[in-house]
Amino acid sequence: MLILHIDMDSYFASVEQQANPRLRGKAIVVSGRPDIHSVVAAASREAKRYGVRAGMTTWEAKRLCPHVIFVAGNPDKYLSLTRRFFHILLRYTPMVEMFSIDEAFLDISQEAALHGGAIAMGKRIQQDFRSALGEWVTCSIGIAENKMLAKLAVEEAKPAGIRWFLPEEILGILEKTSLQTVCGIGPRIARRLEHLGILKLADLGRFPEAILRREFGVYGTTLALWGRGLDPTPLIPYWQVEEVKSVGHSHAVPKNLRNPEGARGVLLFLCEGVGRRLRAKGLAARVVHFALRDADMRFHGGQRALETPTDDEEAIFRAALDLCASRGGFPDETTLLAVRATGVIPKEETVRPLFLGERRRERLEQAVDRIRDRYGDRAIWRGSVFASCRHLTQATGGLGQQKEIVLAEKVSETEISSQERRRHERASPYPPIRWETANRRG
Amino acid sequence: MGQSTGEAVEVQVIFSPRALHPRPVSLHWHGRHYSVEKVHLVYEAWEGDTRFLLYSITAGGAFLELCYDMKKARWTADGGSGSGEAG
Repeated sequence: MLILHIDMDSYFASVEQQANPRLRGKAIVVSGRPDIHSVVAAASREAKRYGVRAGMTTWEAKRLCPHVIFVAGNPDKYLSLTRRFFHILLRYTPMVEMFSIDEAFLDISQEAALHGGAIAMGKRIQQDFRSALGEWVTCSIGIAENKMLAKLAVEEAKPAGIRWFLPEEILGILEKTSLQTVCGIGPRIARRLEHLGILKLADLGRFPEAILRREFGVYGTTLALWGRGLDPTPLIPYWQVEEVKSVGHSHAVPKNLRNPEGARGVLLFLCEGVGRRLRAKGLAARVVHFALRDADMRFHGGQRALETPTDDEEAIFRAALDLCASRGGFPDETTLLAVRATGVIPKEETVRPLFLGERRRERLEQAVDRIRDRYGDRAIWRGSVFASCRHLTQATGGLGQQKEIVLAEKVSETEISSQERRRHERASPYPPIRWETANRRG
Repeated sequence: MGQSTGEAVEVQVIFSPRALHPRPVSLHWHGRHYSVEKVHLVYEAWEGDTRFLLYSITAGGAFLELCYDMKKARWTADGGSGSGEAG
């Protein structure tokens, strides 16, 4: 098998530099909202030279690079370009897995020979991207026998290069690759492995698999395989539908809404988003998870199973509010809120509402969804949400749903809103992208 | 070229069968004619079921953004600081 991994270089930032020539060559950061406490979604190459990285807070970025320019993220712009480059990739092979908004894996085992080899194919893809996206939006390409190695290869290819890990190089690469470089080994796992004396990937390969299994369960087998340069993860092409396991939203709370009443408004706003996405997918959730972060950056939260599965935002809100109350209520200052619905099942498998009031609310929610589908998310609001949260969507767009929130919450789901997905699918000549399964490491 | 936001503007475009989007070649604004020197980026955006095409261009030596409302077939120009730049 031959896997080609494409990773866009400083994607959001380079798209902004492509769009606006005045930003080119400057240290810029794309973030949710520059004027509030936010998270860096992407940093330009120039900003990276000062140590600015995706995932850090905007104040930290400003401290490292005082002259950095903050640019508010524009999800429409990035999604539009992602669709365009995805369409280009389909010219080469239908075996394309969209790993995230700016990363894709291609299985080119069959097609490489048709394009004069993997390197020539990679160069041609880069050339096609340059023509279609602009000279400032570049990508790096990693080629290897499996996804794990291809992802390692792309790190050596950055920026705008191509790196092919040949089979005879693999042992040497495993010897020098530190654990956290691997997508799927986070800081906590790496620390546990270090306690076992495992510092490099090759150490992992030499370590007895039985002990890894005892320490990490099934994941221990995956670790052992990675240590030998193997990857059990299959490439899942975009046309293979993967089951949605959860739907969640979170938001860094702006300063003026950090009081308990403001936080309550933001929570309802998030629950509305979760309910809307569940309804759009025809799903109902059995479990509600709630989390908040206080001024000391400590997380509090919990989960609750519902009596009946629901897609009703009010039921989700009530459950989240109960969870919050059972943990002492909102603190004086709430800096981040998150709601997630899990244990999802198809709505049609749930019991229909028996009482008139519930049926009316269901119809009302469906009517509101239709209005928003037609006129946009800002066309209709709950009074309480409008009063407190109307600036949240205007300022952050949907960026938070895709990258910033993933970085903030470490949730393994990068999902555009279902409405966005459906309208793209409806209007675009391109095949739909399976956005829901876009797992990535922060 | 000014700093107005969302002002109606007349745009001449070329439709090419191979291109994904029509390409603006010149625009008429405030009684003056400007040639589009470079199209930096084109992307799509949606508001409800209305589709917009947004162009980042350089015309008359200045950077501006054009927005084409595909429902109303109407062009507007934004010659502001561009791309949500702040700070």
